[in-house]
Amino acid sequence: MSAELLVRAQGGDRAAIAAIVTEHQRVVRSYLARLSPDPATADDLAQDVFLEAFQVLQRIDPNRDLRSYLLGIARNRARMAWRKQYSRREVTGDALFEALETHAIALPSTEQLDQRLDDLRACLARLAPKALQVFRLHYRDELRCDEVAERLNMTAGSIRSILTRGRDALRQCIETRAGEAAAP
Amino acid sequence: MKTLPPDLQELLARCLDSGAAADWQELHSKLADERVHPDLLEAYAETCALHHDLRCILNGGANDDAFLRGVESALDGDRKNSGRFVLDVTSRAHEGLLKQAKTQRRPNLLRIAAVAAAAIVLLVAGAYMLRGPAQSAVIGRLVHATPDLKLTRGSTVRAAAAGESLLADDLLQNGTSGDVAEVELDERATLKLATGARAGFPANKAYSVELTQGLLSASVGPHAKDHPFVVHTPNADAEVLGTRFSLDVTAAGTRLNVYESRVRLRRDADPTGIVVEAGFAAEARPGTQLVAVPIPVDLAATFQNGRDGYSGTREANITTQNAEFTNGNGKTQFEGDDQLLCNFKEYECRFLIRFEGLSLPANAKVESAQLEIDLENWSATNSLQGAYLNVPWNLKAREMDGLGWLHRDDGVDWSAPGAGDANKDRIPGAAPKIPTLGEANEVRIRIPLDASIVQRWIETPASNSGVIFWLAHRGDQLRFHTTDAPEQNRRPSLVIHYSVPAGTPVPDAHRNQF
Repeated sequence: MSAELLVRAQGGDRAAIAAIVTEHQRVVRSYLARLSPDPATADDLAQDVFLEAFQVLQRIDPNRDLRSYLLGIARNRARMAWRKQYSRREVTGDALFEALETHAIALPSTEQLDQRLDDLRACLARLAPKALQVFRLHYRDELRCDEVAERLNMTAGSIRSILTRGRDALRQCIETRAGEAAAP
Repeated sequence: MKTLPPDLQELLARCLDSGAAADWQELHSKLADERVHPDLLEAYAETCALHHDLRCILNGGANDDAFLRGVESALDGDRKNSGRFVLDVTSRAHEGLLKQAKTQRRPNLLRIAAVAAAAIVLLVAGAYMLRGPAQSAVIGRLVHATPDLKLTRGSTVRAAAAGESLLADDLLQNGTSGDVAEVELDERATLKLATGARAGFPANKAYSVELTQGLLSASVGPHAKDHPFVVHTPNADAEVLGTRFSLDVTAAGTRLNVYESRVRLRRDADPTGIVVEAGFAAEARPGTQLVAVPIPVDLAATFQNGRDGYSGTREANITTQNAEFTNGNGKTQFEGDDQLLCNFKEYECRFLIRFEGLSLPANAKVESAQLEIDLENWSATNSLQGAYLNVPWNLKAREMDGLGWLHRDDGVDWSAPGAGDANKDRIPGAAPKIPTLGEANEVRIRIPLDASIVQRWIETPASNSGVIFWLAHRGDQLRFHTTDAPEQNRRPSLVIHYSVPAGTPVPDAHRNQF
């Protein structure tokens, strides 16, 4: 599918370009969310990944795995982002990038990502109503913790605590579901 | 389940909430202080991913759509902020008024109102233009600058640099280095300017380029029929609705090659002109008719490890590092790593590269050749120099007295350390012209090579000792991406443009479009 899309995109087909973004964005963004200096940077880098790929579209071999090609660009973008964030005289950026890449990146397939998001949806439904309200205000409405706190008449510290505990619960829930799915 | 310690959890929660750089720096610093324990890193990465996934899910897909729109918008560029958009609107309003004036069917009141409206629009546009050169409209950017590319802006002529913006009324003149300059216009057009080409971007003609000299190759995205992209030349205008083509302006006339879709070529003497289809060419010369003929074949062979079965690239770094432990021969870095590092601050270093097994069809004549290398550069002041090597060097000589700073083979010395003898170790009087590295950290440089030397490499493979590079001044680190780079497009490549006598069979992969 990717090869055909790529050939169409190389011929200037804008719909094919959009389809390539749609097909690969989730994997690229998920990869960068784990590997970037911070999640806010991840989507910017992901956008740069597609732009860089489209700028050299004619040079990409349609027989190559486009996903690997995009992730190769993503990896370089993430490394540059770490370096840009920290002076090159400090080793923190490089060392953390390499350590993250070595120890923390088990890149899932698109199917695994879809499954993970399905699991996350199911696990969200199990959150306590109050916690779910906090999650919606923070993630859907993009309110900061102090703004959520003001809305709910709580302290910002309590909101952060709810979010932290909630994320832990969600991760545990996702792992449990993944474990159950993998069990014979 | 891996979890972060409470203090790091609290800090990460603060980071995710505030996004403040200082918070993130503190968190990263603490992660590093823990000597990057794998469990901590995994918990950190997973929490960041979870944060991202939650945003995607709770936004109900809006986040995905916004991402796609962001990419599309960035691809198109923001035309509405461009001064050319104002001029375009003005031009359309003006054209409309002229039509109305010709027909003279409108009541006087409407005509007066229309003229007043046009005057206001023109005044606004005029005021916009009178704000001076600093306010000129950005129309695109220079993707690749050749070593002798000149930019004329107003009354100033200066060297052009890769990455800089192009403004309306700029004029680009490529030099004679043999390298090709590349321009991306906001109007969905990518232009390549060959040696000696001169192109201007008139502010008063939206969607247009004025090619007054030389060869221009273009890839143009779709344009509306009433607003074609036009390349004006002294002999004819090429109207483009979205295609790939090249135009070559010489003293004799203008030649158009169309590689994709179609282009209309017209001139004052022949306002209808002819439509030139893909695969055809046409020439506009004074006193001759416009006729389309098949394009002659342009051939190019690319040698890059992993491409079409090629595996002949050879590289090494010879250095003075640890020279005191190696009888002065230094430490040599052979293949096996995806990058070769030169730390020029601490020791002398030179990068050697050659492409073995170059083959072209019989009787091929090399017209031009270009070496492309990916570099990681950390200093805007770095300046790379190079030369053609005149003597062989042996990558298999890996003992202490093998290939290195002093020796080029087991027991065989360079005439001067570091292949430094300009008359013996290097081909005298010939040096590749290397473009400036600029400020970009990761850059792929294109180095034009001497066609006669590359021809000799092909005809007499024993003469092919390749090229050597070094920094002009001791500066910062420089990394060369090698043939072992995992991404093929980062590996060095040698592109040879050549011609053959008519009827010579050539590989399909060599059929090229400039």
